[in-house]
Amino acid sequence: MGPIIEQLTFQSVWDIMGAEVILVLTGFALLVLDLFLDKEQKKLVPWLGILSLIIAGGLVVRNMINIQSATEIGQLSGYLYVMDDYGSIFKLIFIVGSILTLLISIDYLNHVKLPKSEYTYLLLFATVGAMVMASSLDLITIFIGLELLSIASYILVGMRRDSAKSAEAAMKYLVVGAVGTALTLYGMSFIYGLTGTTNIAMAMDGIAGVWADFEFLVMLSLVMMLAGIGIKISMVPFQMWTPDTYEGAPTPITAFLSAVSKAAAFAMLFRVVLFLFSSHINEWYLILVVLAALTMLVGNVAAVTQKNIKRLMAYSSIAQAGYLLVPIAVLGKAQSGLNVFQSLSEIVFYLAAYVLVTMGAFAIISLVTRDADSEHIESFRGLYQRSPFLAISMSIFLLSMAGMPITAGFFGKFLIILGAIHNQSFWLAGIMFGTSVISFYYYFGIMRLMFKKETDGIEPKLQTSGTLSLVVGIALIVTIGLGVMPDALMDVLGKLAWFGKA
Amino acid sequence: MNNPLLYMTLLPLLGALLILFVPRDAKSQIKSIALAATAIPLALAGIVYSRFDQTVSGMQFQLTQDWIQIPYAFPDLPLRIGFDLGVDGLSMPFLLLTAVVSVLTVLASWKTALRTKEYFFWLLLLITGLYGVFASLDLFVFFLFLELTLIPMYFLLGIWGGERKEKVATKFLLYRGLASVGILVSFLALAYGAGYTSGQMSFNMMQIADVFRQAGEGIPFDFKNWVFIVLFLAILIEEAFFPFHTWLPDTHEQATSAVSMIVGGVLMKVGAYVLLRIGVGVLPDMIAYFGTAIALIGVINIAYGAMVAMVQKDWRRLLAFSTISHMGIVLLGVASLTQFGLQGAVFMTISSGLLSALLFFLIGAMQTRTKTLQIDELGGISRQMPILSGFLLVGALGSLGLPGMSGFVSEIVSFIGAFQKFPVLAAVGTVGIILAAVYMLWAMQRTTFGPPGMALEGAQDVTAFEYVPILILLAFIILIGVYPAVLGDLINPTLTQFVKIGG
Repeated sequence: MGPIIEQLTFQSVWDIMGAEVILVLTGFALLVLDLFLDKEQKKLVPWLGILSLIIAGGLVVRNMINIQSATEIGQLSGYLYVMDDYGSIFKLIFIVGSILTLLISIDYLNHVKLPKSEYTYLLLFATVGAMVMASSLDLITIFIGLELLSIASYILVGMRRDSAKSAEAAMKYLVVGAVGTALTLYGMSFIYGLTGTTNIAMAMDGIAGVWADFEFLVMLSLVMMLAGIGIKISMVPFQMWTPDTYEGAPTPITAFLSAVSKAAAFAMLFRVVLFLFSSHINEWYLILVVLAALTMLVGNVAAVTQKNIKRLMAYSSIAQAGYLLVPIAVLGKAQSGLNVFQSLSEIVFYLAAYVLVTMGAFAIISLVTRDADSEHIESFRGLYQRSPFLAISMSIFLLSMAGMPITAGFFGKFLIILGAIHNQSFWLAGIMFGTSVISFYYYFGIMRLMFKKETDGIEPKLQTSGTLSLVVGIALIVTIGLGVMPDALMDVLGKLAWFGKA
Repeated sequence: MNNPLLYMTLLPLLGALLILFVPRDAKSQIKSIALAATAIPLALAGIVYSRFDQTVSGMQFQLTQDWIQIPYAFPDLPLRIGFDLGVDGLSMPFLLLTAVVSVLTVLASWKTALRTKEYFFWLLLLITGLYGVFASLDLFVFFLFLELTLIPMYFLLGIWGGERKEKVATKFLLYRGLASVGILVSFLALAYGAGYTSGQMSFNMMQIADVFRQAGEGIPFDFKNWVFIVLFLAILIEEAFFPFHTWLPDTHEQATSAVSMIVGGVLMKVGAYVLLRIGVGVLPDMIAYFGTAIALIGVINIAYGAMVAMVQKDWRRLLAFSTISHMGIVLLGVASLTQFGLQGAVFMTISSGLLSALLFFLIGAMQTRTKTLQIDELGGISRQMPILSGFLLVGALGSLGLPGMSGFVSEIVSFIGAFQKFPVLAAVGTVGIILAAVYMLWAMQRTTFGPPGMALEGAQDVTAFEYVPILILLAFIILIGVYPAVLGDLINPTLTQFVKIGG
């Protein structure tokens, strides 16, 4: 163990996990600062959080540029933690998601009394957890990342202490989430027992070796880890907590759960489950196919009857998780490494589109539901007259979620279908598109409400705040930008050194 | 980039975006923009037509423009998506049809008072989608434009429609959305099939067709078989064939007559275009293999559409079922895979588009005066409005296939083609022609003759403004009827190419 300790110089840690270091330091600084700041000064705390996230984003980009000229990927402590583009691109998604969450929160916190510092540093810690999940190559470290994300999210969900719904949401999320992490850990323990290592790369070879003798144990481990991660991504049948938690949580946190937390779980799913069990994927991929199909079906069908906008978005997010499972599920029939990279680029593109759209939509939802003091979808009635900008933006976000042209969602969905057809998973492609036709029903339903004309016409204009407009603007530019010029991102994805230099 | 097809496709979109910046009260400005954004493409379509070389079969006026590169989609090279446009003998008539009907739809919408700005925005977006569908050579671009038509249609039906508008708009969306699923899945399967056969993947329809033509038996039969079934099912929904037809009568009944013009005139012909372009162009051997089944489905639709049309109480539903019956003839013609059959299919599609546009315009004009289109409530309108009734009669006669008009040529040519391959089915199909005479003339009689069904004091006959669309559409209908070569010469080189492959 000697050399591993020696290797950990401050320089190497800074080089490889500089972004995480910045966020953790800012988090702790805010924790202490909270004691000394007065009320007015605390208003600046979320901005500090945003600043640290921007710096962290810069450091991740630095890593991505460095890796292009590097001969091998950077790593810490014997491949406990790596600096590959797979982790970096996911980290960028998390960071952008968190920045937008904080921007929505700044507006939200002006109207709802919540401790601003706690809120901000918990969000930063949650982001760090997500980043660890994406970059770690060791089961223990990944688990720590998962716990960091989970615990911070439980508290964030329950932050509205005066609200019974918020408490219920946190309680449900905590109980289900705790069972999930326990299952994940239990599943991991089998891997260690069977292979004697917690390093993913080494365990992968080990599992291939013991598969024949211990198939039952390996499958048990797989199923438990799938269940644990499945809870985080709201995969059917582990989706039950989602609508209640989304409804009760503060709206920006709902957006965070729906975007960043889900993206982190996908990063973990791909890295852990797919790699650990890749040697015999053609034997177990049907589990994923069935789960993906069920998730798409349940999410979309259940969303049709929802009248509460946050619950509707919860079911919609379940459906979206189902679409994102498709690229992973189809790898069971993969012919070559090419298919893996195709699936990865689909997931990253779709997630990028999805995170932005979710943030934009929730920014508008946060404003509209607060103004109407109701989360019923009727709050959106006649929005076009009260604020054409918000109504048109929301329509574009909904169109993107539905997968309609000239939005990022259209191209994202197209990519996923293309990959499914490439892997000859025609049925899954059909189910994906078939269920997204169901989704037209509710997405277009909201759009129709927004464009309905109110008879009196004396509705007051809806005032947006600067930060909310900023979120909507960014989301809008990216959604349409990626819809018209997907090459902007596809080009980057084509050049990435996903798992290090080939 | 100096390509007339590109301008035709993007001008309506540009118009739509321009309209967004015009204040909502400046209605005349909005309408002028809409007219310009459809009239200029019409002029361009005329120019393309006049310079179109009718002696060759390939694509002309090609635009090749790289757009997106998808890495990892295919070994070695990234997959290229190109904003590739082009026109050949098959797409030319469809583009002309779009150009003509879209201008006339704008004219027919001139009096739209409800939310004028949004109405023309959506209408122009729809028109861009339609141009794009017929002009694009790239499967992705084609699909993009096809999906693009869904959004404006949803709003055109859902905001400006009749009393059941919301249900019908959703129904339209779900049916057409489902059809898109089948079209996309089969497109991508074809692209990968061609890619792995030739070692080079492309989304270009012409290249895919070439690969399939050269490979012939080299591509597994099972693969082609299921791809064709998926594609054909999608076309059945898209074209509203029995038993997936219920959305069409609902749509026509609830849509405004202007929207019905463009739906019946152009949007409903997209499925036929896909059938000809991809079905016949890429998978002719599957059309041959399933020939009898396709012909049978065609005949069922001819008969079913005609019989159901007879019992309709509403003019719009009657016309919808009459369209279904007519499009059955297209299936019959395509199934025969003969030069005559394919020619008849194109003729029938174009003719039905023109006639639908004309008839929907006429009954729209009638509705503004009578306030109803229920056939039992109408009656005797020829006394008040002899000219309108006269035009309606002409349209009805054209629809039932009176010699000298486009419907007649279409039916004759289709049936000649069909008789060569399926004499019995074709013979049964001709019954549809007789039934068409029955339901059309019976409805005409109840509407225009007999005792007046209502007081129509002071109702004006056809106004000068209304003459424009009527006479233009009639001119095309009669032109094709008396001088079929105007359309035949255009499409023949391309169809000959298809028949060569099929044979």
